[in-house]
Amino acid sequence: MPHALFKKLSEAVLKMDEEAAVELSRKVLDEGLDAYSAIIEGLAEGMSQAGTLYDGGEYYVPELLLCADALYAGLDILRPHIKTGEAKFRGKVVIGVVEGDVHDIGKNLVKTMFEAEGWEVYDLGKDVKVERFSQEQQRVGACVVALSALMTTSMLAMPKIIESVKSADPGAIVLVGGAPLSPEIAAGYGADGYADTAKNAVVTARNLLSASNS
Amino acid sequence: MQFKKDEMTSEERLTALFAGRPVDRVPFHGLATGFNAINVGYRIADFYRDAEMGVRAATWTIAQYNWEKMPHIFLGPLGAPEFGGSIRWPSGEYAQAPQIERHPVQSEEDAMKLEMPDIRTAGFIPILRDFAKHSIDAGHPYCLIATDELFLCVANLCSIDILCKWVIKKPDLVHRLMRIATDFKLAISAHLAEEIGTDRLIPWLGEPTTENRLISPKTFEEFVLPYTDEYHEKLIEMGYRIVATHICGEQNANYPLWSKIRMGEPGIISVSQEVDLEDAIRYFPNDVIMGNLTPALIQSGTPNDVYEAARVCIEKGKKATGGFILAPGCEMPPKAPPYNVWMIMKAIDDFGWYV
Repeated sequence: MPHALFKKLSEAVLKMDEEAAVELSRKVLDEGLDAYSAIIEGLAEGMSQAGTLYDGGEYYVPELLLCADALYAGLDILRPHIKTGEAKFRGKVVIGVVEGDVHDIGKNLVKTMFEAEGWEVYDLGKDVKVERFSQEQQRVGACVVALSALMTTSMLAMPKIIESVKSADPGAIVLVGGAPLSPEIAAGYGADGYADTAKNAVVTARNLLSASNS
Repeated sequence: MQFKKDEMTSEERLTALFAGRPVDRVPFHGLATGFNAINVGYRIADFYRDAEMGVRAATWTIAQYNWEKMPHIFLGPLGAPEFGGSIRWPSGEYAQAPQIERHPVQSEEDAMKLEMPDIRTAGFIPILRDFAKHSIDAGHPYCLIATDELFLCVANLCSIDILCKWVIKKPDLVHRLMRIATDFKLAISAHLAEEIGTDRLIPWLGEPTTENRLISPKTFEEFVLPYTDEYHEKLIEMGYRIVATHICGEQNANYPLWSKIRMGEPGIISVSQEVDLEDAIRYFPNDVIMGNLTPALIQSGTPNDVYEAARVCIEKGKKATGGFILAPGCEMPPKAPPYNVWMIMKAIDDFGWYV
């Protein structure tokens, strides 16, 4: 059973209550509770539930963005107090909007979901040059590269990025998403996975990583 | 290969369609902007920056593919440069259209200080006006000018992220910005009516930011519906008879609300690929339905995939009680394979005849 305070933290995120997330995070520290557990069982759990509500059509992007604000407000307080060696990252992911495209709201939501699930995220931002993804993946040793595009022209950068990532590290997992993409186009581009929502991106990454490790 | 000979000119076909009279075959509109530029050897930016080049590229492409003579321009960031933000023109291998570099509204204070720009000279407005003039001078019977997306205009002013948060946190401020956007677009439409006339000009509203992957139908009902309804009503009062509305993206849950808005006489309802044409016809039985080939399929599908998708659209669209125009569900991909585009026209020749 999660600590009652962690449950309240989760509710604060789900209810988009940034002030409550801050207050409760401070209370976690005041009471000497474990910061890492508060993040995973509290803040991250709330964000995960928000993602589920989005997938079910109860929440929309405005709600998700405000949930994310509450999540990050709590993370800012709790993260510095994670004990060394305690945080177990699920993995490292390099993420970005591909060259020629500045539409980053979807990418930012995917980033939030990865962070909420305990991934170490390297965000390259938007309009990212083709070669930067492979360079960053190599630099940080990421197991996943996540690409976003909103335009039929910018999505044409994806096969080139995938080729450059895979040629440098054939074991790297590449996910793609964005309005013009589909599972068929993703497969045609050589991507390992496609996701239509932020939450599904994390689930897909987790499943692919688990399959590649087994 | 020769297609069957048209029995109507494009002008006759469009005029008949908009008057509710029979036409010889299904018309096609390319919803092409950057595609026109690349097709004739220009850069994409040339289409948007230079109205004369833009109309020339559209005219040549329309003639090449036998599309309907109704050039179209859509400057997505409209609102940002006119109110003091900045944009960048498309350049490089992957950019598709002008994009916003800096939004004019970064804070609540900025939103309160917004002032109406000079409608004759600000930002993109001279380009829109010149595109319409050149289009008419080139002999096109109609021209689609994207003047009037409202929620998108507010997103252009303050960014979609801030807009989404303000929808919940500061609804009064969003109403204020919607008011400004509506007045701004009405002023542009009045200016174009005065300079160009309303006979051949069709205002085009494209609302990608109201899609249900972003906002709820409830948000649409509160913030978009009343202003769009008012806007359309005033457009018709100004003398615009036909109004085109591109319901962009996944908006199935918004369709009942869109159908409450006065759409023109007739309206043109441009349907995205996420919505079934039969549903769109049901909601808009008196309007011209336009759509809804998947742009990514035109870009990445095989010629046979595209031909088959066009056949399905044509067979559904021919049942539209208010008339039908085959078109992509959103902008024609600028780098669409020409053979795929030709296959769309072949599908019209094979399945699109009414007589």
